This record gives sequence, structure tokens and C-alpha cells, in this order.
Amino acid sequence: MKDEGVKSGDFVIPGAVLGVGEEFMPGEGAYEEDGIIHSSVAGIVDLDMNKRKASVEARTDVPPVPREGDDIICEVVEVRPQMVLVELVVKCGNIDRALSAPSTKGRIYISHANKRYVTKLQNEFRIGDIIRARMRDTNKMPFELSTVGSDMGVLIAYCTKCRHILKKKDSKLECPVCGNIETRNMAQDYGNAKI
Amino acid sequence: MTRCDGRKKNELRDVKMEVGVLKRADGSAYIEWGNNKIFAGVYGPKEVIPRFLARNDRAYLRCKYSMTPFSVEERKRPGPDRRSVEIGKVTTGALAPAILLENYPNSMIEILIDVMQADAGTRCAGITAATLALVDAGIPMRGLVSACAAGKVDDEIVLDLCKEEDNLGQADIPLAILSRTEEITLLQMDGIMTENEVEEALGLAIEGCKSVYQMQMDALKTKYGD
Repeated sequence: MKDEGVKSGDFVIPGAVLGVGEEFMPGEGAYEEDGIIHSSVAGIVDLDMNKRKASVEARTDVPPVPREGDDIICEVVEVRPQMVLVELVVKCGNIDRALSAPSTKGRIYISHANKRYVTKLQNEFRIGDIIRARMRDTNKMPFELSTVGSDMGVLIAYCTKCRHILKKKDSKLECPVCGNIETRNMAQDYGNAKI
Repeated sequence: MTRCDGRKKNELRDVKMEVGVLKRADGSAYIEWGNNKIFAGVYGPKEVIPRFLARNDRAYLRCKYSMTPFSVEERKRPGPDRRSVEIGKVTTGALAPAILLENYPNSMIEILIDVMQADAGTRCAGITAATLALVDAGIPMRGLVSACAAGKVDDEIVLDLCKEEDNLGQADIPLAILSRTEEITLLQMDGIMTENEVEEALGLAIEGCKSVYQMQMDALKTKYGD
């Protein structure tokens, strides 16, 4: 059951032999066992002869594991004086599949909430807000996230009085039902975000 | 020897496999093996619940096997029972060596096998479908797990027992192998066989697993090959 003579562009399934350890390093979608490089996913072989790397580009959906620098859609679950606790929902660009992570809990420390000085976090986020945040550190639990940057921040905010979705009005937010005015750390595409 | 359904002693029932049949699951597969009709779905890697089952060096694999009430002749009471729990456990053991669990520490991979219609050999068919569902979910694997049973009917060793043979036969050996290395990941037996008969049955079951492996490859190529 050995697949011999695999070349770049071939379709392989998990377990197919891609090469030997002396020849290649295992890249994405590949692993080494007993000196032999095997495919670990179903996909298309890529043998990079310059970098000496054997990898397989998955044809299947791959688990969306959060990595540093990834944009994540989160829901605010708690606002504390020094930090905001969030629930990670999906990875931007991969919204059909739940995040593949050991935990879905994250936090945004006050110093990573906004580029400017933040006096009160409650003026930046409120419970229930849907936000876009960038992953800072995946080694810590809860995950460390940041909303520094114009494309980061609140995408959908709810009125703290009547829970209706707030509409953007200049640099503030207004409730179309009760007229309540609130402030948030809004993303530049607030209200019409494409995830 | 002629079998009750006209097959040769080393012939499998008709098998049809399909990958990626369920939209909501992260990975899924459907298998028709004779009159068996089975769906397998995979979720994860995801958060481990309950939390104490989490391992910091590998993912926790959970497999749940269940039969629908209408899957057998007499209505089966829904919910887990002794047999379902056992099959879930042995399926976990059969699939775990094939998955690179160390890639996802502190996470859980959940496999759900639902038998829509049962006709003997559901654990083998379930393992075969679950393997395809794992590949469909993009979970890194060492290779495919293929499963097949052999048994003893009318003092003859035969491959892939159907329901009548399973009920009236003398013995049954379900077997699963990691096809790349031919490492045995599941081996069970009920009934009585001599040592020589066991060896013959194992040889027959391994050949059956190789045929199943070819069908798994074809199913994956059909879905993702072009």
C-alpha cells in the first residue's frame, strides 16, 4: 500500500509516502515517522526542492486553529476596570466552522484596547458587543487579544437601556428606539462589517 | 460452499461510501455496507468537556456510537446502552492510533456514529465511515483505518458476515487495521474457533480491510481528487 514516486501536484490521502527524512523536512500537512515523510491530510503535494520541504495543501476544510496575528470575532462577556473578557466565536475568513481551540475564552487588557489612552473601559466596550480583535498571544489562557488598529474594535453594539442595535452617528452611537447616546471603540466598518 | 446471499467465502457485500454529506458537522461521511446504513460526523478539535479529561500532551478522543430506534427489526429503545458504550470505546481505541492527537493538546475531537439501518458488521462499517469523516474534517492522520469482519459459518471461514450468518453462525471476528502499516487497531471475537481457524479468519479479514481501503481511497478521490 505504498504510494511510490509522488510528485508535486499529485493528489494524496493521509499516510501516503512523500519522501525520506534525508531529502525533505515535513511542512504543512505532512509528518515524519521512522525517517519517512508521510502526508497527514488529503490534498495536493508540494515538494519544494529549494527549501527541501515536503508539504500537502489540504483540499479538505482544515481546523481553524487561532494563531498570533489572526483576526477573531468575539463577544464581550464581562467588562472589568482593567480588562475585557470575551468569548471567541469564529476566525475571520473561516466563519463556517467553530474555532479549534482548547478554550474559547480571551481577554483584552486595557493597554491593548485602543491606541489612545483609555480612562474607562466601559466607554470602549459593553457586555454583548460583537467585536473584531487580533490574537496577541496563544500561549496564555485566556488568550490575549488586542483591539488596537482602525479595523479592530466593536462591529455591533447593543443599547445598554433597551438592547436594540446602536446606529453610528458621527463619532458616537445612537439608539434608534430610545435615543440613548453611547460611546464605543468602533471598528471603521461598524454596522456593515464583512467577516 | 454457497452463502445465504450467494456470495463467495472471500467476497464483501456491496459497499458505497460518500464523504462530506452533512453541512453542519466539521467532517462527515455516509456508508452503505450491504443493508447497513451509517452516518459518521466529526466535531473539533474543540474545548474539552468535562475539563478534567483534558490532556496537556494530546487531544482527547471521544467516540459515540448510537443506533436509531428504527435501525433494527424490533424497535430499539433510544439512548446509550451497554453495547453502544462498548462499541464507542473500541472505536475510540481503533481510531486513536491513526490520528495525530499530539497536534492538538488540551482539545477534544468528537466522533459521532449513527446507525440508520443495521444488518451485522455495524462497528466495522462505523469505523470505516468515521475514518472518512475525520479526513473530511481535515484532522491530521497517520493513515486510514479500514475495518472488516470474518467469521465461521457451517464450519467454514467466511468474510463479512451478513445478519443471518451473524445470528446463526458459530463465530465472528471484527478487525480494524491502520492500512499503511497493517497494524491491528481493533480485534474482537465471539464464538469458538480453533487456532488455525483464527489464523485463517484473520488473513481473510486483513484482505477484506485492504479492499475496504481501496474503496475509501476512491471515495476521497471522488470528493477531493479533481
